[in-house]
Amino acid sequence: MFGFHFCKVKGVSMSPRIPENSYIFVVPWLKIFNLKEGSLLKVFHPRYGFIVKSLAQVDRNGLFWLKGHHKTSVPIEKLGPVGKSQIQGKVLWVFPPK
Amino acid sequence: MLYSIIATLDKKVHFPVVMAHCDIRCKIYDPINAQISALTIIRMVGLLNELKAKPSLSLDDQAQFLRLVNQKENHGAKVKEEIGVIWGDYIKATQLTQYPELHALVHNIMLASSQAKQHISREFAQALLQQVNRFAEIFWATKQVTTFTAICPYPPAESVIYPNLQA
Repeated sequence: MFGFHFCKVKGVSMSPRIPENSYIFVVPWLKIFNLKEGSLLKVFHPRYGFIVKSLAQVDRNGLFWLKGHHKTSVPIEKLGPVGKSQIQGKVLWVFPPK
Repeated sequence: MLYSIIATLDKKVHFPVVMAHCDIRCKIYDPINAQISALTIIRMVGLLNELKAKPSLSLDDQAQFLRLVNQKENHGAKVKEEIGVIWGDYIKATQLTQYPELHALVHNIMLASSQAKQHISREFAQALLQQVNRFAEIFWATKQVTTFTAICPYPPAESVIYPNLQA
């Protein structure tokens, strides 16, 4: 409604960049711009639901490959690529718990 | 400061949750699948030995032979997968301290499963079941569930460790 929203993060796969129980500030419309590697994205994944991951690369077919930051994160090949329509927004700010 | 404000807002409006999970933590673990696969291997060996006893194999027998070998292979791989998932996802330092044999036991199950796949041998298949049973015994003990041994009520009628869930 406001062109942005907050989400709460569960899980540790993005730590230390996004520690568990952080809040993230997500801007959906920012996805229309070129997304760079390393951008934090909120994505609707067909298997894992709403997830937050880091953009690993955009392949030559225009598909987005995602990765976690923690060593135990679901590996990139298991996550598989997602289309732009599945990207729910770009994470602009992270508010980690104290 | 900002976090506290957002957390207070969250309590009022309940922000959506996004997952940053390492894997789906379904917490559904049960070694029974591995035990049934080990039993299946023993059963397949039994049926293969029945074919072996025939003087010659008809076309149907040959097709049956292929199916039995396929099933034996698949269930050998399934034992590895099922045990590997419990070992990798459920077993933590606490269980390892309680049962230091776990690493060696899981490794032995992997080896025994390969042996059971490589040979048509009831002895190897039974050795696999024995180790998977021991794994099941430890698994249930870590959950404070007592176990009992019973002969499974179907071929190959071998001893299996079952959890005593009514206790």
